[in-house]
Amino acid sequence: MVQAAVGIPGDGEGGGPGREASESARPMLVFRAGCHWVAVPPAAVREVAVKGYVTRLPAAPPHLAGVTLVRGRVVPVVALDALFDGGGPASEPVPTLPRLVILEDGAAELAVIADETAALVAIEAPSVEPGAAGRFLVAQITWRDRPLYVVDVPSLFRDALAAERPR
Amino acid sequence: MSLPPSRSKGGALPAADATPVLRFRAGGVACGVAAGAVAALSAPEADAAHLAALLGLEGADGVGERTVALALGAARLRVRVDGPLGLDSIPPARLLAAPAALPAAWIGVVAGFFRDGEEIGLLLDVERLAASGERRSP
Repeated sequence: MVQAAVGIPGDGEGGGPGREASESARPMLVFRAGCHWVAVPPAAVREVAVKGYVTRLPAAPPHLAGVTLVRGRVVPVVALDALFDGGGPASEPVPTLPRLVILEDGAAELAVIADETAALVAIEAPSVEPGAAGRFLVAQITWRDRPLYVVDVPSLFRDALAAERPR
Repeated sequence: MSLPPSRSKGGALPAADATPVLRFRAGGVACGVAAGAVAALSAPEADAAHLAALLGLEGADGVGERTVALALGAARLRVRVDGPLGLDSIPPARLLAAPAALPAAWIGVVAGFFRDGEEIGLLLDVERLAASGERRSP
């Protein structure tokens, strides 16, 4: 996986491997999906909403939690944790109401369940090919002593909404 | 039932009139079928499969359970469903388009979606549902 420097704009903590984020660092929205902390570019985020009712679909794969209503639109809801290879350790406790991070890719949109949202974090990640770190993940960095996965949103759409999941 | 999921983005499906629907729940999910396809309603019958099991939706709670006999064309199916049951007339404004990015295979027996308060209800295609029931029968 690719390593990168991180920092939180304005708080001076850094929180990563001890390097200051440079001016070339890009802000990313960081949130926890199950037991994984992930980062997505804010430009791909249409909105963050409190998680409402999710209606399950009879023929959907395990990572598709169902569909939900967002401003009158039916939006697929993805349990991102289920898309990670090998799953992961037991999920951390949820200190706040789960949110939905509504992502967009062109006209398409999907909602990712966020058990906890952090902040906008400045991340300096080397430019890598989408999927270089495995499917929709383009980098893994250390943030607050935890692994933080940087998501390539178009690749996530392809993977999460593909009728046949790539292996 | 003639409510194919629209592939247009957002908004309601085009429909001139309200759609009469029998509403119920299965596995905790709000569902409905075209009222015209309902042949009979009766007390729960043990030999009828539960719709939640047929749909692969765990969590049938059995509250207010009834058996619904469905008939549309040559399609026939008897299934148990959870209550509350009710007849509803769903206006076009409550019909919802399927997300364009959602693979059709994942929609399965769902003919369309409707707004049910804060929830999304599933409008089930009776013919596809009957075919699914036949495949699961021994």
